[in-house]
Amino acid sequence: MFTRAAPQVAPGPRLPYVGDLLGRSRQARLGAWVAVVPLAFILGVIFVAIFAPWISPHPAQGAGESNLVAILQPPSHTYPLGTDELGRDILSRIFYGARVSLLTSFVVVAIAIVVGVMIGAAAGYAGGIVETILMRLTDFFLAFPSLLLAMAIAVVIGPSLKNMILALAVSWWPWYARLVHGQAVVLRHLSFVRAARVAGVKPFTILIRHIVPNTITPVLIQGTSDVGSAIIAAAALSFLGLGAQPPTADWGSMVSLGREYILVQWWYVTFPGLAIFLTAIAFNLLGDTLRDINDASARRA
Amino acid sequence: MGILDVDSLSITIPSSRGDLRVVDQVSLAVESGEVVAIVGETGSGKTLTAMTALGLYPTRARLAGTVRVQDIEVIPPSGASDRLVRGRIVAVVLQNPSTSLNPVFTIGQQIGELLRTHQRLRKPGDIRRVAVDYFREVELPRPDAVFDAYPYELSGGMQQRVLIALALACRPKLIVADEPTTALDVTTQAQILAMLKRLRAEHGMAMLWITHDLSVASQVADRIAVLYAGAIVEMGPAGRVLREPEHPYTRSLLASLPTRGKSVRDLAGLPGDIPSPAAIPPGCRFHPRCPRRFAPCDTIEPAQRWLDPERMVACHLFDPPAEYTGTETP
Amino acid sequence: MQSLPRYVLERIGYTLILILGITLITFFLSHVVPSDPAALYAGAHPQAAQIAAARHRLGLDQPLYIQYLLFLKGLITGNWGLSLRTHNPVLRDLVTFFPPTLELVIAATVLALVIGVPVGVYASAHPNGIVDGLVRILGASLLSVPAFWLALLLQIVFFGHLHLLPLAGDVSSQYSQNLPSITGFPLLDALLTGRFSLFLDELDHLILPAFALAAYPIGLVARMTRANMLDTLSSDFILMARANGYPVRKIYSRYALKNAIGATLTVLGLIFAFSLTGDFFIELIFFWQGLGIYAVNSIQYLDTPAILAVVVIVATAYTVVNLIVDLLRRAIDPRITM
Repeated sequence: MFTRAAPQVAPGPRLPYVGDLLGRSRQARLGAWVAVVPLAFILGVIFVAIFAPWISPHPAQGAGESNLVAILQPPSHTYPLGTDELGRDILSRIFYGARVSLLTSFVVVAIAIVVGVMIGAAAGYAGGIVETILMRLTDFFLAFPSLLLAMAIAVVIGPSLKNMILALAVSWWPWYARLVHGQAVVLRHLSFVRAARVAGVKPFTILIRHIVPNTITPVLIQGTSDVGSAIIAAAALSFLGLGAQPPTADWGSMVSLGREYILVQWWYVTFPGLAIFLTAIAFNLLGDTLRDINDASARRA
Repeated sequence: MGILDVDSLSITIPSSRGDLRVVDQVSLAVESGEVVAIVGETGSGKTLTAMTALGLYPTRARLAGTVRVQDIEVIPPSGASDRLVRGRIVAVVLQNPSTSLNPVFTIGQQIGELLRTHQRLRKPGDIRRVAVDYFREVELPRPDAVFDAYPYELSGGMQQRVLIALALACRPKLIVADEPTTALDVTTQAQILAMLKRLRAEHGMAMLWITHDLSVASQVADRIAVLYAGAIVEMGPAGRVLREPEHPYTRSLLASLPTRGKSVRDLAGLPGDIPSPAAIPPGCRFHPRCPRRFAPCDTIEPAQRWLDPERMVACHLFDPPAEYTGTETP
Repeated sequence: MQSLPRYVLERIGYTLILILGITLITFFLSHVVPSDPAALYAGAHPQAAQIAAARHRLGLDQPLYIQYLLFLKGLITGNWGLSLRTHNPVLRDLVTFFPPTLELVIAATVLALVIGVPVGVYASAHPNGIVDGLVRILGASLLSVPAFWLALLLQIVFFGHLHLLPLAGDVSSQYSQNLPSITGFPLLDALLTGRFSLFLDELDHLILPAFALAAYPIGLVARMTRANMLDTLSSDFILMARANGYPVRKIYSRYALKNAIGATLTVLGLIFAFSLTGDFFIELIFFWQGLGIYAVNSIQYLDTPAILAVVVIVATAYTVVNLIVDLLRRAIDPRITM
């Protein structure tokens, strides 16, 4: 006769009396812009990188061919962003440079993630002396200013794109190891992991099938933001001449070369740098959005 | 003169599940010097109602109705109503003492700021002296040491006393006390209750007491308002409400209180739970759990009926709609 | 909880161990690298005899572990070895190059606090408003801008177009012959000798590099302060303070800020220590003769003694800065035990 009413709902999350963080209408619309624009920009950059030879106004110059009749021209109809000291169209060079930047940063972050996750997961899962050794190693690499470390490595093994990628990856992996290690430690005490271990599953399999998938989300989110930072770091190293060698177009080395002409031919330094800046910020914002989405869904769960 | 006058206050909060009516046309008044208790289960909207007296409510909420403190309109907000009311006329004692004190400041610094603002004290010596006096009033041992202590160094009971001292230091006309004894053990509860009664007698301020515990309300209140799912279902002088409860909800609340002579079997708990604001039953919001519901209860919402100038009930049993008069009440 | 002196002592001990570990690794790593320090010391196009002499002078003909022990002994006695590149005692090089960097990094840190914190607090006080949106976008920009590019842009705008500030260097050429040298800190020395026009000139030169270096920390501090403030502002004790009539402005600028600032300080400390060599690009672009340039030149030259010395300095700086930050945090929040 007495029907059971709806189950009691707790009075909701503590209502913040000062400023609510998730809003509606205007708030949500603005939020949508912040999420969509960076993504669109990144897709644009990827598109440009892939199709550079077809959409550049002067593809040959983009690839490195000189054009000595038009040295250091200001932005104009023919050369929308001006030309460099060999007369090459800067816009085309930027398009071609996108290939190097994207390739470098993706590969660096990918290697860093793979190495860092394996080390961090192994350390967190194994515990004991293995954990201590691995984490001390991680701390050591973390304490070293990463740019200097990358520089040192690049100097020793010689300047080239491949070596620069290696150097950056070596200085980048500790962050992911740290990130994963903490979570792995928590996971190793959970029942399903213990059950697997008791059942005799090999440690490596446990790592791959249980630990890693559960720690991967923050890693991927961090990784997205890190692509932006990696673009800057790669540009910084190539600014010093340690990365892609001429005549390959590369945003960092373009800024470095443009430095000589900075006071009169300002476009040489400004536009490649702008490319670095905008791409980096797009990846950072994308990473932020992913983090917000992840936080919101975790909160709702 | 009335200190607090709430008139048909409704609070609606937009959410992903639709608009939630968390407070529905609540009216109550607190006169100078009297203690009014709002009694209701968790989720009934009692804290929200009381906090609007200070102009504090979630930013997204939509409000209707008015709230006046003395002569100042707080809802809808007017001019500097916040600054005039908060602390100066109405002070607050919150529920959880360990989170209600700022952990990085000493007790002395925290009460000092209130004394500077509300009593215009300037000299550190004066501030300390007055503060220690208040600490003594709330029966804190070693009041001098408390002044220099950090919140984490005090026990729960001591922290609660500090909260009360902070409220007193504002010299308010009305103290809003939100479940001030819930987080404490039974012995401390009794001590704090006794102390509050004494303080009220000495300082003469009014109190708006929020609680889910009728027995607590019975010890302190002059008048009681019973809140269910955001609406007041019964209101009246404490003695009369407790001895002769009219609304079925009040009756079952009383019946569930342990007293001498009753065995556990006798404690009549109510079936079901309080409805969430997203799913308030049609008609009388209490009807799904009401042992005395009859025909109009699931379609028509009962109006607030004044049985006499002091007594209000919102229930069809006392005010049956025209077509039901004379029908057998179950 | 331990007493303060004991805590500091423990941290010093930990630093020493850290230095030991890092130098050991760096020392032996540097011997893995294919280069000959003696040849490097002997300069360009050395002849065999010169290299042999250099080898003996540098003590390189001794067994490796002896070299390391001598190095440690030297650390304590003040003989940090000879730079293969400059031929100076490394310690003297450090005394020349470290203070300008310290000045620059301190200036940038002060900027980060003075600009970042109020901006973060303001944004948290008006969340989801226009200012808040601008702050978030600007903050994200500052965190993503390449420092070397920003430095160049600042030069273009403030020197090239507006002619407001000097291009580079830490002092104008008219003064560079007669610089006072008491502490080694340019600004301080100018003040101590009462040469105000020199002081102003050096300050002028400090502005652009400091802002270029401060961009990232400003963005970070503003963002973190905003987030931590929003977190704190939703606490019960803030609600109580508001309800009881605490002055609103004081709630933001003092009452809530004290709770929120701790994490920001920690991060700022890390950035400070990192920037001691991490400001390399700024130093390069502004011709600032500091530790960053020295470190990179040493690396490129494979100047082992100099590299080792820089490593020691940086490790010590990290620990000292962390210690200071920890003490600060403990002063702010008494619940933090050590």
